[in-house]
Amino acid sequence: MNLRNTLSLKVAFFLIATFLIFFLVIPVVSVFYTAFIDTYTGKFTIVNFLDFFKNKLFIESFFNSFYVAIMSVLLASTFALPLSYFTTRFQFRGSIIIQSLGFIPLIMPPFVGAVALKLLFGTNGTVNLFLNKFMSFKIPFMEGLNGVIFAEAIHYFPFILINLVASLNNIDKSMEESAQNLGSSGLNLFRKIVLPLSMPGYVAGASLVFLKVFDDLGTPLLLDINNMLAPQAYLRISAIGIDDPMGYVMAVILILTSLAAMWIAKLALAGKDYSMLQKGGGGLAKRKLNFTEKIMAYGVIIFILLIVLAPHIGLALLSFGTIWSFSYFPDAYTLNHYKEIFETSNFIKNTFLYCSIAAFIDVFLGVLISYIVIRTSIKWREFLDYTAMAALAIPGLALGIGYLRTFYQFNLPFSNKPLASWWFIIVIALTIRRLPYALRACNAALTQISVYLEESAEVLSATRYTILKKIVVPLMLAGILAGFITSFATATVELSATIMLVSNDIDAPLSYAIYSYMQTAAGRGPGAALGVIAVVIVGIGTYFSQRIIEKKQNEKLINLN
Amino acid sequence: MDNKLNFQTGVSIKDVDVFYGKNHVIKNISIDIKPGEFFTFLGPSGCGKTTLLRLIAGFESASKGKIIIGENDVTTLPPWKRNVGMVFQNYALWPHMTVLKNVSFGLEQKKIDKKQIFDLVKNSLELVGLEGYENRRPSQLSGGQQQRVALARTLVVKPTILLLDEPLSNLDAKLRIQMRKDILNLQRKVGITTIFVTHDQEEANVLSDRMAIINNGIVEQLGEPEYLYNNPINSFTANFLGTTNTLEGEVIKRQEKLKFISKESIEIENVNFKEGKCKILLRPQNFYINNKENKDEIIRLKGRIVEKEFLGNIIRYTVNVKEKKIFVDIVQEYNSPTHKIHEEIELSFNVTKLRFIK
Repeated sequence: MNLRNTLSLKVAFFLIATFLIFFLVIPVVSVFYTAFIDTYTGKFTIVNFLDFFKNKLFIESFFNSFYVAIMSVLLASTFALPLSYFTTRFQFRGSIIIQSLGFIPLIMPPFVGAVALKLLFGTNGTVNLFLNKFMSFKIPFMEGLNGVIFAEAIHYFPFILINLVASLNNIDKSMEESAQNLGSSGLNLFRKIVLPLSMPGYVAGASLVFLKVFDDLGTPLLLDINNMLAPQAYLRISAIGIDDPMGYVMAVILILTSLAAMWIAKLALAGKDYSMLQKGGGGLAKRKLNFTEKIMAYGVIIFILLIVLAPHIGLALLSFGTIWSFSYFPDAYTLNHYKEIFETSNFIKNTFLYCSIAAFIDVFLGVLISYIVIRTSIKWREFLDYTAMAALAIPGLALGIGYLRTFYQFNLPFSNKPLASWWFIIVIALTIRRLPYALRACNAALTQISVYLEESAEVLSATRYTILKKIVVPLMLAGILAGFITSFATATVELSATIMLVSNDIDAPLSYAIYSYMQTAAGRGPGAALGVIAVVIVGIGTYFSQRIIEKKQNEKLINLN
Repeated sequence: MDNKLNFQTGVSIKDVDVFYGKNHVIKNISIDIKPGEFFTFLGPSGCGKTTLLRLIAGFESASKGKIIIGENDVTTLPPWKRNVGMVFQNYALWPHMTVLKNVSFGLEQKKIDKKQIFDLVKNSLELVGLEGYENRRPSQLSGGQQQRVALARTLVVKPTILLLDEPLSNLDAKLRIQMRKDILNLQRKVGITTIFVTHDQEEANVLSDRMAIINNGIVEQLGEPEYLYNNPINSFTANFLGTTNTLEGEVIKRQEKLKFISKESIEIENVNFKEGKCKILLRPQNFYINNKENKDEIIRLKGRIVEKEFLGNIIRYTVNVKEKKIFVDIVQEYNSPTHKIHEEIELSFNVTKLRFIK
């Protein structure tokens, strides 16, 4: 009998489990249920899926989504591979730039920069106008699916970069030296030793990119690409209504593909956790670059950096520009777009409200879940952890569809409006979507706190509540804060669940507003201005959460409360 | 198949200096290692012993000096062209390859044909007692087995010399003793010139034909283990190869006789050393307590026991003689009487056991 299984914690377990069942399990189950049930007879059927595979547009969308996801992984790899090679093999200052690139997908999701990319790389964008004038040819960077691939790869390649660099740095120097000692060098050594040992990191990063791209809704929509799976599901539900089963079929396919991608990645990584065997660490031998190599390395880095920063540069230009069409850069510059969004919109206010509530609930649940799972022996406690983490595998779009389905039937008391169209449902969706981030931070923080610290309070006969309040939470504070900021910052740019749940413009948050502004040529300026604001919010958030994580061990921070 | 080498190779380290930035880590070291010898670099951590080993393997480069293996000057050769075998401290088995793949790696680099590789690998796994483990992964092996695979992988390519970088440090105490016997047997069987790096003097004593005591980037003393233990030329060697009592003082001539007086004013008559400042070394096991035997060369000192440690086979007393603390080891026999703390005793030792150093 574990003495920490107090009644209040059991009640907390019950309440959290109910919350997760109600707002995660039931909506997802309802998506599956609707997809597999005949609308008229109410019986189990796979006819909806057969219909899906009979429809040419759907098949095309399905394959396009795969094609785009795979090509994005390949393009992202071509950005990430040389950069990871430079940082791990050579001693030079460019490494700092490369490491900073890691934050780009956190700071700016691809849909925010998509329109700006079109203005820079489109048929009549800056780059092609330039190419056409001086070399008389154009490159179709942004034509059709190319545009989606390009935008996604630019934003998500750092996931591969970070994982690959981490796994290369984990390879012990002796792995390389023992091969040299047995007569291997150069490319042979790279192919036989370094490459296979770095595979786990690459696979982890690549599968993450695949998932993100496959699920992404905003980018194809903003680039006017409808023949992909996520946009089709969205259009189906928003145009035909929530009773049409086809939207659910597509949501099911999105969920299953997510799970399959995660599972395949897991299989590929099975038994390949090499880090345990490699004591000492220290990474591969690094050498200094000579002058020509340095120039070449910086050349590659600056080239990739320019591409990677293009959406940011384009967005900034767009937010300050008057008219930008068929020209290298905007015709003139103005502050009017910023003025407009600050005068007319409540998007920013909504975003702060929604995301701070969501992030607050996230860390509150995160602390309780991690405490219940790690420190108590309450029966079924792992359910909380698994379920909360499973939210990672559920595409936002599928969750949004599930919410519509489930909560349209529930009316709010007094107003008789459906729960699904109340603004708070957006907050709950954001809470569920970002809970894994907060939970991970809390788990990490709690595992670092020795159980003796609690036991020494227990022998002084402190109550469970006092221990949590005075010992556990203060010690976890840095982790909790980092979790709060990460959840908050990434929630501000969440679009795919939100887009399903916004019922009127007054309740809309920032990300939805960027999306709807960007639909029209006249709205691009204000849309870009909102985009810049989103980037600034997330950028500041990311900066501080990194600072907090770095200072985690610092006692001062713990005393801050 | 015969594992015995056809010829044995010596190694010469000639006037080698190594700098890490401004740090002078190897200071003009020269060592000649004879063909077929088991040679040990012994020293505390950070003394430069591993750097010296890595220099021979080609993973470090000397700022000055030469490395000669057999007849060949290899100073500027990269590691993959030296044909030197090295076993790493963490064994460095590649986790993504089976035992078979690990061991055949070096042979594949030499473009030996498949059939022959298979036979050589089989033979080499037999040599280390791991036949039948071909398809295991390193993660499925115990520490000792990984060690054997590392040895097999290194020996199978018939390197000219074998370098072992603290290969026993990751094993538990019992296995360490077993493995060091196995390593020695293997070395005798194959006959390969072997250089072993360790900070453990017991390991070095058991294994080495000769060893070099290294400290702060220089060779303090070089020779056979027993000789070094009994004839240390400085207090570093003496202390590194076991506990030693060191008395600092000087030898003076009085009434035609030489006499040592330590700075704590402990006096020892009839010493056989030249006049002037010097140090006396005396091992703890050379003392007796309250021994009545009477000979000319017996020296007696009065003291008081201040500490007593039971170490199993011996009892180590710390005895205050004047202001000097002296360690005294007495073999512990069943039911033999022991002395108490604060007891006043008489220490005695034979003057021939004294070692004088400058």
